[in-house]
Amino acid sequence: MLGTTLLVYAIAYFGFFMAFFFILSYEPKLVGKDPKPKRFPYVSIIIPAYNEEKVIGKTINSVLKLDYPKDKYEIIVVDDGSTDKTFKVAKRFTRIKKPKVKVFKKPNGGVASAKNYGIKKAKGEIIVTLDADSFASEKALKKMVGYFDDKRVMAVTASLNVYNTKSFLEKLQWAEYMTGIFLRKVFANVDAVHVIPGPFSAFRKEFFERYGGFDENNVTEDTEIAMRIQSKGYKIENSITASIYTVVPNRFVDLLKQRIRWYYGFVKNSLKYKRLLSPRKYGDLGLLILPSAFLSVLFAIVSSLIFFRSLFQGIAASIKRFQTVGYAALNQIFKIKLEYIKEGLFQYLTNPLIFFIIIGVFFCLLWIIRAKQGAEEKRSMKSAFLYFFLTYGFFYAFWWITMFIYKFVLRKKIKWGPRYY
Amino acid sequence: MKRKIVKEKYIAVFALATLLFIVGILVGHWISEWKIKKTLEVEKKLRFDLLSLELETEMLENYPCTIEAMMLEEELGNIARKVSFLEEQLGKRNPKVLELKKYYSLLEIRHYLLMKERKERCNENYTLILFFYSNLPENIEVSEKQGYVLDYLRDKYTTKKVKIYSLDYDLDLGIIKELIRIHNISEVPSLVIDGNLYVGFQSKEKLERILKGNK
Repeated sequence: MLGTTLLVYAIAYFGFFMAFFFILSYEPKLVGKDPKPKRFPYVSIIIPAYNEEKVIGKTINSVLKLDYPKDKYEIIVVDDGSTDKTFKVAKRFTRIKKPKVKVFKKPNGGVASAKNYGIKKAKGEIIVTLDADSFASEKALKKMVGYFDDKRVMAVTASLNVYNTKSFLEKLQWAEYMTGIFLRKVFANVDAVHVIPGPFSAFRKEFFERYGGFDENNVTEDTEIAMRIQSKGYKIENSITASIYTVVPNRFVDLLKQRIRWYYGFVKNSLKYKRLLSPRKYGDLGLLILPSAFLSVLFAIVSSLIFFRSLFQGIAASIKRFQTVGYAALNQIFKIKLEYIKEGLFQYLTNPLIFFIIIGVFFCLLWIIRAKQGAEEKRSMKSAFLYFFLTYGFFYAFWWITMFIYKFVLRKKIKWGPRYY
Repeated sequence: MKRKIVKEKYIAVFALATLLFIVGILVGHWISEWKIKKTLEVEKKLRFDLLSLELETEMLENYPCTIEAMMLEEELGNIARKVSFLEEQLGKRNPKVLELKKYYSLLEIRHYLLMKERKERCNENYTLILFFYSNLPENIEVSEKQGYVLDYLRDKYTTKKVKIYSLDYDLDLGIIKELIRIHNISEVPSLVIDGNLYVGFQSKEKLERILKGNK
């Protein structure tokens, strides 16, 4: 009992510390005030695609509708060896001249290789990578481009929101992405962005020319490029109002596979760039942001294990009861009087730790509301928040534990594109 | 390329987090105190109940067989549950919890003696069971098992037919030590069913046979 209490105190203090740091780093007066670009640089929007015949048309259409001078950007679709009609569907758009649409087909080599192929064909000074299953809001590009006026900025990220928000899993991820929107803005304010999401992120082409393109041997090339940019001392900015909508997995297994890939990539890239942990050279990123990322994984795993241990203990006690008394035990369950339930609720609601739980929920709610406002999200998120608060911790711990077991215990390979990692 | 760490921000964050954390600890402490106060109120009520029970015993002398004492049995059940919840929250060794447990045990034994008298005087045919258990690590599992069996019996036969009184063998209470001596209790768990001693764990089947035998 004492051990659990101490753990809860440790998590609570850690949570409060991070929460206040984020709140003090959010600076709402800056939100919504993306810098007005002094000029409109030429932008190449690269869309790598693999078997996306169903959505590629919609994606290209959303890019055509971008509120940006039509003679100042081009669209480059790279078909990474699809086996369906992706190439055919995309080719139909090539008759559009303003903006220019170019479609290429190459043998399958993975998303990073497709992006690099596109970069070689690009003539813009700004490169934007867009996932084939994601849609950009009209003003997104205009809002992001102004940040490049600062010479130190090598990349700009947008607000990654969820397109499909009907099922339980989709809503859970929606709330999660909302906290991501809030956190990415906070990280940008303290120069600590360490993941650049695939859907609609902008890069200065000059960085690729100088330091090479995306790492084709990496299972999460978007984390790698972010850490690489940080390690070279450049800035990654964020526009919270530039909304991008992506389709999230709605099946448990697909979601699990995605998370195993993401978290494994994060671990590998963190090891590769462990020099980022130096506070002297990398400021808040090295001192607080990266270490807290590791700590939160640890806390989530430990507290989930403790929760499940007490759950199993409760189930084991019930099984023992069952073994001793047989089927009559079932009768006892039905005889639970209202008194017992009232009493039980009273005891658990007046647990001394309840204060910390309430504050935790409050902070979480605050972040999501901030993000919702900043990203101008109009859809109601009440049920999403409920699902998130009740279950996210377990999913998070489950995904991390599964990743460790899958990769480090069972040593299985992850397939990403044509490669195995 | 160096990046600035804003020291003032970290100091502010540290101060705010520590403040909120301390508030949390204080709130938790206040809640625990409030729960203990409520417990003491239960304790006070228990003392009244004890007195009332004494009066009922006196009345039995004069008006046997008409006293019901049914309300008190339900109270006993409620208090037993409160005690076990408090044991979980504050720990089995908490002195306030132990005090409450002692009052509860006194009440139990008084009720047992009353029911015993009444059974003899008024020819009632319920079965009285004294259950000696222990929470010490070496005995707790088998005591719990016996507890489950007795719960089952209580639910099946209701308190009209079976009255079960659970006593903690290790509780530092004079009257319990007396009962242990009188009935020669040497091992836990032990059951005294209508005055007969049964040592060790008794299964559901065995107990049902004994109960049927008593009818």
